[in-house]
Amino acid sequence: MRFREWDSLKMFSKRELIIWLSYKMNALMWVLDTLFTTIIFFTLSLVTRGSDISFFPYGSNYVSFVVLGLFVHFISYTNLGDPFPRVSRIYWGGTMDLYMLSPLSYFTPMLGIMFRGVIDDYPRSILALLFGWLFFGAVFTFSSPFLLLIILILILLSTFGIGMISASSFYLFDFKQQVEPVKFIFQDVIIALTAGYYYPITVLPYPLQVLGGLIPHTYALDALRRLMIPGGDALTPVLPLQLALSGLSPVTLDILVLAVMSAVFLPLGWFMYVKGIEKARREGTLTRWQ
Amino acid sequence: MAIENVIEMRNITKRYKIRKSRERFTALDDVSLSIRKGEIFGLLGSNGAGKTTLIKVMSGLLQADEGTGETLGYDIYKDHKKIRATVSLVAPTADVGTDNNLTVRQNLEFWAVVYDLEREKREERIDEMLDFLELRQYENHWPMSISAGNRQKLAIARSLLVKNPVVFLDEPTVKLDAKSAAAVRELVKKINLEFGITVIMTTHYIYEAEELCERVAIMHKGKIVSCDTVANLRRNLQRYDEIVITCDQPTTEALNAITAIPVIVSCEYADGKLTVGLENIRSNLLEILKVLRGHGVSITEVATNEPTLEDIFVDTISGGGV
Repeated sequence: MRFREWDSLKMFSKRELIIWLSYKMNALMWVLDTLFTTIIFFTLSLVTRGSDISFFPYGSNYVSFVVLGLFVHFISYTNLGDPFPRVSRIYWGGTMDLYMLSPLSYFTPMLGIMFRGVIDDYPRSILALLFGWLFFGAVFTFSSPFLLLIILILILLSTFGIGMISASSFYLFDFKQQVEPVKFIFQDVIIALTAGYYYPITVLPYPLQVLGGLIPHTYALDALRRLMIPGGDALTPVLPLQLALSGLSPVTLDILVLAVMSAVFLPLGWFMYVKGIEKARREGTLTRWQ
Repeated sequence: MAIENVIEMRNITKRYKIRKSRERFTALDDVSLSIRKGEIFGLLGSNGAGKTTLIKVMSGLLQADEGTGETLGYDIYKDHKKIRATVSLVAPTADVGTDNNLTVRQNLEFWAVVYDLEREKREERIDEMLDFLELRQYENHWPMSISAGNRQKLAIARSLLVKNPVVFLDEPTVKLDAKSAAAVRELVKKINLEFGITVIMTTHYIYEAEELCERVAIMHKGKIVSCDTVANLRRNLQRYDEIVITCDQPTTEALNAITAIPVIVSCEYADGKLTVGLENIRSNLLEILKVLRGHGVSITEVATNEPTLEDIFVDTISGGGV
């Protein structure tokens, strides 16, 4: 990325930070919200304590299990859920024309405005881990930091790729005043049901497990939980794809699938977004005023 | 020396899709236009006439369906990115692009980076704009706490941060009170004079075009129905200027002498007033007065009645004379 884009991204980030900080009450609410979410799942873990409910192959600590779910949830919430509303904000605010009349790339304004989501949600994912660890008995192990880093990068990229596909639908398919279907199908249907934030997806009926195999969350959570929760089993396959390709270790397969998803979703989202902008330029729909 | 054109549009047509319909709305219909370097050019027309669409085509924000054209020598189809990087635009409402959570200065700092102003020159340029637009006293104010006129000045300041040779102003005084609108009009003149920037502005305020623009294109239903200097538009209008002279009853010889002047089309005396219809008031007024005085007519008052741009506009869009 050229310095120009980098400078602009920093300036967008600064602006979003100023705006975010101007709502001080929001910041407090935001910390409390993360705390309460963690408390809810801690309380839920009390129900499972002493029972013979198994989280195999993810150890036996439900708080650890669920805060990792929250960690991925908050990241996904930004990377997948944020691009569409940010593009929408640029459009309805009428500023797309002004950004287009600058030397910036098509992506920089959207990425820059997304920084609000990054400020909002990325620290939450860390806070969820911290609250779980400090107050509610979550335990983690960091014996494979390099693998964890790769998984983290791949979940960031692959979810952002889907987010870009979602954002591109604003201009490409003209979803301006209605529910955006890509985000709805991924975030509100498949992910909500099969990502396994709060329960292992092995408890779901097999067709839903297969459906869960279409999203990166399933593989990221599987790998993170196997690697980070004490007692996690790194060798036994449980996901449909792991069972089908049992020659590969589950974590290796998870990483491979995440890499493939990143390699497919990200360029596809990038391409679709450019096509969407070009279509809007042809049709005169870059901003709401004509 | 040949006049350098910064914009050349030839037979531009643009049709918009109509939602839930196969039909298309023609926003620009075979529009041809040249805009000279350094002029203030007005696009005049009522709502829906195609002014904003034309601005968007010229600025590279919208692709035309038919026709050819260049802005600053760049082809509107192949080089639209280059065009966009070398022109500025002020949107119809000042709030577009103005963040109310940032101060006036912070807003300018933001856009200075977006417009890729050299790092070392940013502060200096922002200071220059704050002074030039008389916004210095508001630099640490929130945009919502300053007047609408000053917010519009902020929008203009943003567009001037980079010294682009062409600035498009889309209805720059819309929603402003009379005082603020006058201040913005003064500013437009100043930008043009001091920086030599070509200003292309849309407006539906006729007096504004008349005050600011060297040339005006009158748009109606996607077409340019007339394009010329305000003076020429007046001249071409098949409505004559009028002089009303309060004077003694002129003699028949005096009346005949006036009617003999080639540009005179009517001459009538009634109720102590001589009403003369003529083609060009400015060049011929003195001659008429000289003839009357030569025939011993005592003149007490002279009133002129030239057609305004509004007359031309109404006449043009109603299919009249130009």
